[in-house]
Amino acid sequence: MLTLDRVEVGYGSVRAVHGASMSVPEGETVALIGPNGAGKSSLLNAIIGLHAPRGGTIRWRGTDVTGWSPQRMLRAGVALVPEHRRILTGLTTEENLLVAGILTGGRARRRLAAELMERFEVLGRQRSVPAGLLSGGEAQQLAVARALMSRPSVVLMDEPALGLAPLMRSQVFELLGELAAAGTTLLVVEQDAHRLLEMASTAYIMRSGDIVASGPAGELAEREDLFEAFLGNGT
Amino acid sequence: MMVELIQQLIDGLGLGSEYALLALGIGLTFGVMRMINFAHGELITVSAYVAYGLTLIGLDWWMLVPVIVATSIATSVALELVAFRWVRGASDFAMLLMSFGVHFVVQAGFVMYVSASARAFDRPGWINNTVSVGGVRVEVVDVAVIVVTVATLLGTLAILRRTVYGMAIRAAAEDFDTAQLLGVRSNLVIRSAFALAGLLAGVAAVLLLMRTGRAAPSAGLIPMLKGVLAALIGGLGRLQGAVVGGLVLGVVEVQLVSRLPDEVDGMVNGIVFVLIALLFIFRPAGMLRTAAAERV
Amino acid sequence: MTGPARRALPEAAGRLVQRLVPDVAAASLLFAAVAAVGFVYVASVGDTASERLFTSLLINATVVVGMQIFIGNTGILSFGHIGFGAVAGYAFVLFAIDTDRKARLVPDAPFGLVDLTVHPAAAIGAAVVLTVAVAAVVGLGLVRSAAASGAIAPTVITLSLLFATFELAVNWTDLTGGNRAGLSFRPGTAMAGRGYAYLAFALTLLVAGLYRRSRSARLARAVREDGVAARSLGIHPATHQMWALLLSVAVVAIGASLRVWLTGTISPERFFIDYTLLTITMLVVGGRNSITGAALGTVVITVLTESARVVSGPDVDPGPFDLILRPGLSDLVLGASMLGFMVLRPRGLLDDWELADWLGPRLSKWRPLRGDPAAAPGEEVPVVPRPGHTPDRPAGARLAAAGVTVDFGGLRGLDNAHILAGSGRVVGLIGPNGAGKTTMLNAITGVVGAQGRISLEGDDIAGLPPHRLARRGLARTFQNLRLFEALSVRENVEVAALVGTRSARRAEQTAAELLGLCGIADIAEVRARALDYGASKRLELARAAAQAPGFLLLDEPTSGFSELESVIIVDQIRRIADVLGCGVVVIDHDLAFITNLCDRVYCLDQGSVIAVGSPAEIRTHPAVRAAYLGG
Repeated sequence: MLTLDRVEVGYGSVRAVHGASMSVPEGETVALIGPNGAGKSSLLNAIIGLHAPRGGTIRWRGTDVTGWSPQRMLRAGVALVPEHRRILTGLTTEENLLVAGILTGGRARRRLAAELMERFEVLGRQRSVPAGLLSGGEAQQLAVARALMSRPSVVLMDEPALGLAPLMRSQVFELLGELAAAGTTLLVVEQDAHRLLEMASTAYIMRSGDIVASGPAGELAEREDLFEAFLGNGT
Repeated sequence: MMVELIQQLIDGLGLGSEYALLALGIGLTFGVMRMINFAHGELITVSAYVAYGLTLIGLDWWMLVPVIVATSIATSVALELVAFRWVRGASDFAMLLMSFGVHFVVQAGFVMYVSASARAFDRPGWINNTVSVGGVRVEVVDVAVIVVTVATLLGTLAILRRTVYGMAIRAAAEDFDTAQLLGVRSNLVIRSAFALAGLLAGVAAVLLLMRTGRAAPSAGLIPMLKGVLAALIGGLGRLQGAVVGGLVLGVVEVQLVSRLPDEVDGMVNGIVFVLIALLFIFRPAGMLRTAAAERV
Repeated sequence: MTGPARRALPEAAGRLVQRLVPDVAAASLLFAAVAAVGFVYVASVGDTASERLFTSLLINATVVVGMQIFIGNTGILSFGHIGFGAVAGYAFVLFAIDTDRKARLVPDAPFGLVDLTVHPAAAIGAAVVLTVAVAAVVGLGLVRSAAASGAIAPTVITLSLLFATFELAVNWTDLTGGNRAGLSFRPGTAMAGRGYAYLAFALTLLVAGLYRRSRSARLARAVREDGVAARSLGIHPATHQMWALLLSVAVVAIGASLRVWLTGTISPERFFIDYTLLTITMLVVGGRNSITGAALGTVVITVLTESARVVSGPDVDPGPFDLILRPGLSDLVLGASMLGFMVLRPRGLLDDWELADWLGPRLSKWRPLRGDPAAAPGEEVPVVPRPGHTPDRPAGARLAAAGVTVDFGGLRGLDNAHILAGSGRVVGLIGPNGAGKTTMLNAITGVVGAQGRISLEGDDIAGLPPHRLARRGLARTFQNLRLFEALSVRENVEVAALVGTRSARRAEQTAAELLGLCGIADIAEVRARALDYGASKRLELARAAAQAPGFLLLDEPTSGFSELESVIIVDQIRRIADVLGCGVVVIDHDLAFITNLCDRVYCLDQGSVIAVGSPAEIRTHPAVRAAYLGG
């Protein structure tokens, strides 16, 4: 279980998250939705350790992991698929995977990379291609495969379908479904709320740095004011 | 005419090889830290004095080579440990001054505690031998320089392409945050880059000392500046660009020496520097870089 | 000349004098302080060595303040100024020493220099002119590379210029006498022009202070703080960096000439890397962004190196005059103080504290001409910031983009998108994350290259660089704030206003008015980096409005805002649009905000416009719903 207790995040004068509490039970898929600028990405970046939170605690399997570096989080089994994919364009597809396996031993790293390139066929076919030449959908698969190189128990996904064509979006959601079915715990931030809520067990809605609603995903999906929550509630 | 041209080309590539080795090292550390290392020449200076000390006790040239390279690597990592890590992530201004200051402190240390004047030591005996290939008279040292440089560059390339640490350096040079996110530790990658830069400077030092056979507090100054300029010409942060920049600089310099009247021979460095400064009027982002859209 | 005009002229002169009072006072005070320290020191020691030391301090201070003019205002580190100093030094000496001596030292000097000699003061003038001309040529590459790739490349170029001048000086022996002999005055004439050192330092302080207050310097500092934002305000970076360079080189040339005159000799080593290290250390230790800091740094470092000399004893002291020739120790002291400051206090002792700024409010109490200059009689004070560059903008101006396509290396940012905005109207741009909203703004403002037609008032503006677009009346804000952080709130807005007008007073009035309109007048003197998020956003709005734009392009003005703050900013945007009579294009994710503010809304998805209409129509549009929530 990954639990957040009143986590605050900020950079400089910006207060991005005001005190978010949530829990992600193992083996489940949790949705985190809300408009742009609500603080969702900031929250994920704080969990993985890119920016230490300003307050609150983050626990993973009972251990206080607040302020841990990304390396320690990866070792502990938490990985992030970052917003905009952040593919290393100067490296080949395979090199992207191998770098992501830097924390594992040499032989295991190559084996795992080979496995993933078998599983994601498009990546296998383009293993020696500079990753900058991959299409948006392929790049997204690489971003997910990269996160899997650390054999994580939890994967945090920041807008995996961002900027993709509809068909590609469907593929990404299928991929999420496969990961969940394989027992990986997912915490997903995504604009496509309807699709996400269909596959998630629990959902949290963020707005202006606060978690404003939470509950079973099915119930939230039925709520009439969901659209309003996204677009501002008639001030 | 053709023979002369080939000869100049070989000379130019021989000289450019040294610049390329230094430029690649400067480019590597720039990639991971965004800092131009003006103290890169001190690796040569330190190596030169160590080599001088060892020739005093009668060590053979072949034994010196690994010692020089090891010294350079150790010095490079040591400078990172005691100095550069304090300005990681600081402003360009602070980093530039930091490396400039380190350059001075090391140099002043040599002047005060070692020797203010140059010390000469024996060069290998074969250094001035020449061989003739199809009419082209080639100095053995030039051949040696080119062979060693090519081998070193290929080795470096192999490290950067085949090992996970090399990939990590390239990853960090492109996007430090993302590299960290994938599990690359910043200490590890920065120190690897400094070690690799030290290795390259060590090889450059061996080649330079073979030619000059002389240790002086300012021995590394002009080579460093040429290396930095080569990296700049190639487009900062582009590793192949640094190598190409170094080679181009060497070839152009040799051409200038042969074309210009003899009276201005001593001014070749100065003329090269002014030409580079003028080059930036027309190619403000470096010779090899194509205009890239700035993302806001 | 009509009555009011005749009255306005002396008034304008009076206001100018008032404006300059703090700078003149600061320069005088600073000069007096340094001179007082010097007199006390010289009087207490009482030998010629001490007098020489103090004179060299004055000269060094002149050089260091000269360097501050460029380094401080542009933020570009230069190692090349001493190289320009070498050019000046040689030019000076070749004009100034008598023909007999020249015939002996450099009998083969070109350009008929052997037969030429002028008074040293005139020689300084000639040296300045020559050096500035050289700087104008090589400086072009410098400022162009600064504009293209930031502050690193120019620094390397300056360093190589330093080496270039050194090599030329060493090797052009016909002209310079080479490395060994050098050039020198007749023995015994050294220190003859001592009085000029005082004069030069006093003038330098004054010039640096007045320049700092000038329009060009303020625009240069805006570029220093954020080049992208400065360009989008209409500032052309290279122009102002060039002015800073030329003025700075002129002052350094004076200092360098005096250094040669008063020591009686020049050789390549004396204007090379040691002197560069000395002067740069003085500047960064004192505080590179402050004239006062530059002067203070000179004094501090002189005291430090002299102490080091005393501690190390006479055996490392080859001569009484030049404190940088001592090998080793002073380099070590200098290098170590530079390193220490870079780690512990990278902005120097004074950071950007400036005596003139401190004096300003204190002096205003007894100014000769009392009263608020803004309320001067006989002139109508504009209530509204008038556009300086497009005075006769037609009422129905249009900003139109059609068929706009942007590719990011295979990734399509915009696909045949369009938008139309008219003056006096507010157009909203909404859509999910990654839909291409910001890309649309970037395409219009020339930040990214785009295919398609983009026109302003019927003129094709596609492909124009950002600073040209800004001058044509496009102003924008950025999603990630790009404020000029080291400048105060008021200065941020004044700089934007200064682009369109040469009148500092007009800019002040515009700024004051907009600060009030945006509700940040009470924090006008706070530095932008100290602001909280909400105030930063409002400042950005005020800064964009200060350009008196025809169209105001706002990227997520409410992101990170609470509901209440959003309501306030809607009101402020409306008022600004009313006052300026401009058109507004606003990106936001908050439909409530968009509904309250906009006349017309475009919804983007996947880089294309999927719906256009009134806010109410957009709210119920099925395609919009699907784009936001998925289908």
